[in-house]
Amino acid sequence: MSAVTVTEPVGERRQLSDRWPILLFIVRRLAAMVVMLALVSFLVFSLVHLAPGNPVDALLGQKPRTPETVAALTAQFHLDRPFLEQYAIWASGALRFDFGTAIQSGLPVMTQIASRLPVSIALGIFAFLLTMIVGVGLGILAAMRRGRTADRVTTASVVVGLSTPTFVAAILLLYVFAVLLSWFPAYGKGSGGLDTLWHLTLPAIALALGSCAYVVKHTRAAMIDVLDQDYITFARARGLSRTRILLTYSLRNALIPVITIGGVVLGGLIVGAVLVEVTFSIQGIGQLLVQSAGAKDLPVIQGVTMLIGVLIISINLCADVIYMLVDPRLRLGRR
Amino acid sequence: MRKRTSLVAGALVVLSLVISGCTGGSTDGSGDDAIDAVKIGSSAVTTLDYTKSNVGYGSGLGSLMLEPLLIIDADGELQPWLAESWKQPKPTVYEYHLRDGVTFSDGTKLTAQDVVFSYDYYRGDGSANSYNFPSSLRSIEAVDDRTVRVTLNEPNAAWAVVPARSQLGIFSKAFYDANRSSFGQPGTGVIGTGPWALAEFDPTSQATLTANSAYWGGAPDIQKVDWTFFSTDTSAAIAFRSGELDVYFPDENRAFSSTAGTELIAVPGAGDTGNFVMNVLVKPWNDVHVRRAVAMALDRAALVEAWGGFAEPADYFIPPTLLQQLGTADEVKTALADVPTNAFDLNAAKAEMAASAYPEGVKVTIAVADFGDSYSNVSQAIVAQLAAIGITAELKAESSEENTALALGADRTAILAQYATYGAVSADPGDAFNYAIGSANATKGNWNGTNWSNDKVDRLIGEGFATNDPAKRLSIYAQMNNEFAVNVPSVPLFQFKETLALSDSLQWTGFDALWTSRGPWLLGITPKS
Repeated sequence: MSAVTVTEPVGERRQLSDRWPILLFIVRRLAAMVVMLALVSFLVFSLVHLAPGNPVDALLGQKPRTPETVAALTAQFHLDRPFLEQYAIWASGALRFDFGTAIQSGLPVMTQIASRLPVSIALGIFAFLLTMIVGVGLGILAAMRRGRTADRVTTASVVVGLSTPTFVAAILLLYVFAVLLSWFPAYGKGSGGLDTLWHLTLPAIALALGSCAYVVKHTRAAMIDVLDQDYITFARARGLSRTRILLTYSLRNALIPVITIGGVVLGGLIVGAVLVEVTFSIQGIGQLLVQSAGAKDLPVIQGVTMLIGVLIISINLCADVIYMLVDPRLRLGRR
Repeated sequence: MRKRTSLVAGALVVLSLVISGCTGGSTDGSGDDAIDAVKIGSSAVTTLDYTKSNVGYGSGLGSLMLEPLLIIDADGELQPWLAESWKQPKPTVYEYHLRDGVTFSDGTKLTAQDVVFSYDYYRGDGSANSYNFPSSLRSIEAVDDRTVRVTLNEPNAAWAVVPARSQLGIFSKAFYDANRSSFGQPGTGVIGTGPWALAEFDPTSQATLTANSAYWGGAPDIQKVDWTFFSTDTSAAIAFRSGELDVYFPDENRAFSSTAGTELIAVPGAGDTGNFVMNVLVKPWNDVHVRRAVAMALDRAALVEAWGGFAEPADYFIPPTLLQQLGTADEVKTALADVPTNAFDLNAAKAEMAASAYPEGVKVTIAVADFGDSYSNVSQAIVAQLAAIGITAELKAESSEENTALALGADRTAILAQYATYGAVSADPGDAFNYAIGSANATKGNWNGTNWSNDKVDRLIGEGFATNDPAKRLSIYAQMNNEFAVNVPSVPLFQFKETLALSDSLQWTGFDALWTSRGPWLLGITPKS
């Protein structure tokens, strides 16, 4: 009896998993995402609540205030309610995708996020492309030229790239290319299209520097590992061209671990650009989060946290799906 | 492989040349074109609705569109602006007669109803701007289309300058009614009577203003204003250095000047001062001898350096610059002749310590809030100077939020001694720091961080507002300065200068401490001849 009850569902699950392995995987991860976001939202809400200060004080600043104004704002932002009730009010709105009104600006949180998200995404993707193109390229070059000058120079550059804080790189690039040479603008996001590309070039390079070194390091290691495999030696022995060995045999296998870190890198680039945004006066999501945290602007903090959570989880999900597509062993559930 | 590398390098060079070629298309406001487009910068302005946030007028952006009823001229005298005349028929009544033919930038006519509505909107409960209206204000009403009457419950001399505050710019009631939910926000903005009208407003990057050709004072010479929002003074300084910015009002003056590679224009400030504040509810600050010793142990000139310059040593709680609203420089000097200044004198300071309850010295904790490097620098200098009279001070870092929460909290003993900036919120000498003095403000939600007052000061506060006689008021505030100098709840250290970074192609001959009380201030900037 027990053998039947155990075997049949497992058999069904295997069939479903064999037919739609990726779909099942995505559904599971999305369900986990909802739980994760609920936990994160409560945790962040609690931490902000515990931190010293008061959003009304932050809003009114170092200015005189009347008791009536303080009372009105306290009631407006539900700060006079018990903690759990405040969270419940926020959560019921969030379930309807209404994240409330920013305390500092009086703008709807979604409007404020929507106005800053495009530039953060553009900067993140620009830096990501630079990271992956330059990082993978240099990683392959270093692996192919292992032990030679190109490899040594690349490896030394990786050490410099990994050791250079983003804000230092940003200030250096800003000073050399914007102030001294005037090749690039010193601030802002530009007015769209090529102008934005031009404005975001220095910030993207500054942002990409560290992650690029990280990708070079991983690509080089993965590539060297693959190049040492017997099937590569055999392919060479068969007289296959270098290009074919590189593209068909080496790269596809070597890129699997690189794709995995690609998701982490992209997430980090989009939400971790605070210092670059400040240096280049780009009003992006990272800067919004820092400003809101300083002002205890809870609706904005919660809204941005949810956005970052969704972005990170989605990007990692995409990376895992690509990973599964590239590596059939994972798709078929075998190890 | 080498060939391929060369190709990639070549492509990158071409790409960089193409990209750098784009720089030729950027606006260049230098030389003869400066009058067509002036590039101004500030920290981010999130909304132009002054009830939601005070950054809009604080930056100077709003003043270019929303105008006040009156302005204050270089001599400190009130002058007509949207109101062409005003009178005070009774001690508690003020009437303002609006200029004829003034229209908003959308062509509609300015009426008294717009003024009444704007003022009532600003002073409503929950407004970040309500502090500008005294509690004695009873009503604001439109007598007719061009006359506004303000009635107070009791005489208040400080009301006279309220209509000249940049925070109280008049906006169109009809425009507000049509855009209630989005008033002041991007996409809607505000409609005023000023020389410039809002064309574009993106809080994440910039605002663009265009000349209001129907402006009642005549079409302005500057056709366009490109206003950029910067994250930090450093970003603005780099933009200024690279010629992408014409006008900026820095906070961190020395750092800005160095990074921007420019000499700042610095003029005497109106009244903002830096002070060492002591909470008299806790030991050892409850001992007046300790407080006097501190006052005489602090070397103001050295502290100005520690602050980063751009300030003058201060001797009085209410600065003479503010008192000059009530009399000439000589009259002010005479009124303050007998007020002690507690000048730097280590021997006298040590004598005071010897007379205190702590002749062998005392350990204290001083708070330093993260309002900027200058705060830390000056706090450390104070610690070093106090050591010379046996006060061993330990600095306690507080976040700005924590510092504000403690300053306004119910537990008044929790406020630590600290360096603090007192911002003058009014050009009126009695009203400028009224929020930070007196028994009524030594309570939860108020800013008297010393928690000190006495009957005489409380009485003087009331008397200062009750009379319009400048000589009497000058005498009252001189007495108040004397009370502060004798009891030393705080030590005035220095008075800030007003600073400006201005492009070499422009000039602003009338720039002074009261520039924000001059309506649309940009009218004062002209191309350098």
